[in-house]
Amino acid sequence: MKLLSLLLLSLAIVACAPPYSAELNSAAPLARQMTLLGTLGAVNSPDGDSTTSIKFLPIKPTSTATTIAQLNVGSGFLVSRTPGREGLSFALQSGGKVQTSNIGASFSLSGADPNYPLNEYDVIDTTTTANIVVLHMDGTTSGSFYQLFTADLGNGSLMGAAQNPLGPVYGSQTPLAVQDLPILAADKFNFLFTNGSTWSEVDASLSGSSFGTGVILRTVTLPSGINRMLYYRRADNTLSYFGYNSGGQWIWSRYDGSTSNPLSSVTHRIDALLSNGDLLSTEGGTLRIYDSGGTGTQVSSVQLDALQFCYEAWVGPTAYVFFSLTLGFPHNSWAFQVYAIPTSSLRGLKG
Amino acid sequence: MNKMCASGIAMACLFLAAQINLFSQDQAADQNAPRRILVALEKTWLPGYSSEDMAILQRSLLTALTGAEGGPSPVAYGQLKGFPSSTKDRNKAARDAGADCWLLVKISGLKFAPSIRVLSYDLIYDTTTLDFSTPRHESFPIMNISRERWDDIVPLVARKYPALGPLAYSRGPPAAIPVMIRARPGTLITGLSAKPLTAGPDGTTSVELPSPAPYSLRATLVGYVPSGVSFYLDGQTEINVDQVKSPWLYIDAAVLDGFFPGVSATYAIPIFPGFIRVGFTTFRAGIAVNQDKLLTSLPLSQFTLLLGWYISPEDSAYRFYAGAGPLLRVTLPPDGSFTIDHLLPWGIQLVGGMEFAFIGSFHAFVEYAPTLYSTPEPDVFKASFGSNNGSNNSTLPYVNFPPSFALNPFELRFGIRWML
Repeated sequence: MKLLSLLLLSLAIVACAPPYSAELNSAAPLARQMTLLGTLGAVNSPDGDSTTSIKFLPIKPTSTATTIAQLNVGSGFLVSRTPGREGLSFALQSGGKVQTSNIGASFSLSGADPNYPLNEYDVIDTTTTANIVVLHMDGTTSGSFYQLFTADLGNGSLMGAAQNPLGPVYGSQTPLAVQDLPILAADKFNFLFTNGSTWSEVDASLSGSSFGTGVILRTVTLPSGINRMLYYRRADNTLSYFGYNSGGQWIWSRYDGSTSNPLSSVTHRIDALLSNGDLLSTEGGTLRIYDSGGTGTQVSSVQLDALQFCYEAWVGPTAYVFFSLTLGFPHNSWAFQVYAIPTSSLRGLKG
Repeated sequence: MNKMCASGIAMACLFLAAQINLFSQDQAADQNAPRRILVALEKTWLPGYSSEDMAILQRSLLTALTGAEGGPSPVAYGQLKGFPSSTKDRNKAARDAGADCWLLVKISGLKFAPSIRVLSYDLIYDTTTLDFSTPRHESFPIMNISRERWDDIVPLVARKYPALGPLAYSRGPPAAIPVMIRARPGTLITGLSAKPLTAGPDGTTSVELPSPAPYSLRATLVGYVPSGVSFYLDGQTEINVDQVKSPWLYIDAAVLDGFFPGVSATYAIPIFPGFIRVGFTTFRAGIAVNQDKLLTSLPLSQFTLLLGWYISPEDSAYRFYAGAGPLLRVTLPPDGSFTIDHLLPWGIQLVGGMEFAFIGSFHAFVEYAPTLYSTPEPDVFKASFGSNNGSNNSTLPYVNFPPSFALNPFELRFGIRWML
């Protein structure tokens, strides 16, 4: 009996599953071609829900970092999705412990069109604080709003500014799309507004926690009756890209200020216009790169698996594309890794 | 008349001769004296049996032995506890009790299914006569323990110790006689002479041994299981050694840690007690206390290569071995491709094991296999154990070794080994 008790105790000690991460393994072939900038975790689920899906958005590189080797990402925003809602919190790794700040910032997913993000989370420049703008665009003037959140990098506390309607940014018109364009100095927001008959490409900048009045760049003629679009514009304002989903089919066009040309080869949602002019799509977990010239030829395609596209940002003189990897572990626990690859190398990724 | 008279005389002679013959036989039978056997009863750690129960069992055993026709006369060992542990002391206890042999019955196991070990030694022939265990699938007679008949033990004892004539007690000094040992050619035989003997090409070797006397020999030959033979030499001139070929291939079915199943194949190197083993363990199904669900399934497997060495001889009841070798973890993640695991890709395993006979050609084994893993992702490794308010949980049973190693000192593997 003593021997049996001893045996059972031994089995209880050793009856453990080995450490394992399916996400790490599935992402490894791609992640090995990138630079690992940091691992953050373990973090308890902000929602205490094992069904939560989480996206980690690392803070943007500060202007003092001039090479990728100087970056060590130890903090970022957590966008967690539970049925019907998205929540925003902030995680800061400090002294071997991850401190999360959850102030209950939450955004409804009610009425979301699966083809478009209802809430866009744009991490903007890191100063003494980490900053993120949440833009909620539901295709209406009254329902669209934005809100700036800042996180103290010293103590990790998250604060939210007041929620503001988007309509007043440009003549109380309806915002159709927004682009957070990373430029060397700061982030620039390019909006597409419509009054129902004309479409205006508008520039607006954040001043404090609010957008100043938008400035029209030019008008463009687009199909009427569409209340949500995706829109990207080059930093030099020479070319704009418009896309919308019609009956499950993406239709993209390029506009040079006078002529609109269809990008008939682009058949997926575009998530970013990169600084080298390439169009990036992550629809369905596949990273597709399109040449933005001609008809928009697809130049590469690899499976992202568990990697998630975050943004493009400049590190010194070089533009990098940032990805995060969310690793789920037992007991509603998570860890995150941040990877970066020069924008110029993105086409060369091998799956 | 004369004819009738002659016939009568012949009949009378025949009758007389028959009577004389019968008388002689009776006289010889009378000369054979029954053996005296010292009987001891012991219990190991055994719940449910009181000292009174044991006394009753001893009495029933003595009664059964007394009633066994042609068997030895039993003499009770006075104490229920404390029968000497060595053969030498047991023999002394038997001599002190006026006995020429002893019987020790050890009772172990649970009351409803006891197991009985029987040991007996013959002081006259200086040899162990009985050494076996007999399991009981039911308890001793309930309510009246004295009704136990010992049917599976007493007849054996009676046969082992028939009555002996006086010559058995008064032998002359041993005299050397030539003995031929038959074994496979090349077999090394030790224990009979100062120098080891080697069986020649004809499969024999000879030695002169004093007789009568007890002997034990050990026969070893590469490719065969070493065997020991104990015999009482009493004039016989030939001793045969049975030798069984060593199995060279072992197939294991085993479970690792949280009962994760695996198989392995071992090639036992014939010329020395080394072995090479390749193994495979899958973590697709198992039991784990550190997961959200007790029944755990991970798309993870590991291959092992082990170079080992048997420390104990092949014929040991418990055979110990040790080894070391690398392991490789591979995975087929959902929607991914077959690849080497990224978190803990490889490790070095030390193995200390013990195997023992189970059923037929199956052995049971248990192995302690502490493993040192390499991890290119030490931060993820620590994070994989979860978080307690932002701090990493304890990594036990794993121990983190910065910068990029992890040790699991608690790995256990056990299973069944098929010796082919």
